[in-house]
Amino acid sequence: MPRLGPIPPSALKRVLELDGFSIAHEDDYNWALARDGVEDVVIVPKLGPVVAEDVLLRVVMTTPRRPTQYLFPGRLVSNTSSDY
Amino acid sequence: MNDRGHDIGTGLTHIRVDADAIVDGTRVQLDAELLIVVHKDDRAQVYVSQAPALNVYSQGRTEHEAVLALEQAIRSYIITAHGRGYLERILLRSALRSTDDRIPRQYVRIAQDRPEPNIVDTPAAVELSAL
Repeated sequence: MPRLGPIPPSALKRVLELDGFSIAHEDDYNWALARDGVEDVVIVPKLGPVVAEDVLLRVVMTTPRRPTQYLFPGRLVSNTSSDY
Repeated sequence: MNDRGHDIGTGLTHIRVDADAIVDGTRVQLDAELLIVVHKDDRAQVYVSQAPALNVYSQGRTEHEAVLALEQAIRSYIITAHGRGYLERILLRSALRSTDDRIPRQYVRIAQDRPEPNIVDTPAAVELSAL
C-alpha cells in the first residue's frame, strides 16, 4: 500500500499547479483544479490542518502520473509502509 | 445527520444541491440529488465527506462543515466539468444509476440558456437539457 504523508491543503494545491493544473473554479471551501488532457476535476479542500488520506488518494488517482511517481516519492507517496 | 439532508439508515445521507452560475457567459442551472457519507479522520483531524456516485470528496473541521464543503465541492466539480465540456462523459461513467430499490434516486441535471439539443438522455439518472 502506498504511504500517504500529511500535506496542508495550500501545499497540495501548489504542487498540483506545478504539475500543470490550474484553478478552474473556487468556492469558500474548495479549489477546483483542471488540466488539459485530464478529463476530470481535482477538488482540493481548503479547510483543516492537512488533507485527509481519502481526499489525497482521490486527488492522486486523478492525476496522469502513477501514485508512486507523483509529487515527492518517499515523502508524500512511497511503497514502503502503510503508515500514514 | 443534520438539517442539510436526511439519513436513509445506511450511513448515507440524501442531499439536494442546486446552483445558478455563469459559465463562459452562459447562464447554467444545476440541480442534483445525491447520496453522501461523512466520516471522521482522526489522523488529519477533519471530517471527510464524499459523494460516492461522483467520487467527489471534501472535508471540514466539523461534520456540518464537511457537508457544507461537499455541497460546494459538488457545485464546483459539476460547473467546472460542464465548462470544460466533459461533464456528459463523467456522468455517463458515474455510479448514479442503481438497481437497488432501497437506494434513493440520484441525478444531476444541468440546463443552460443557450439552446442546444439534449446531449444526454438516460432515464432517471442523468439529464442535461437546454432551458
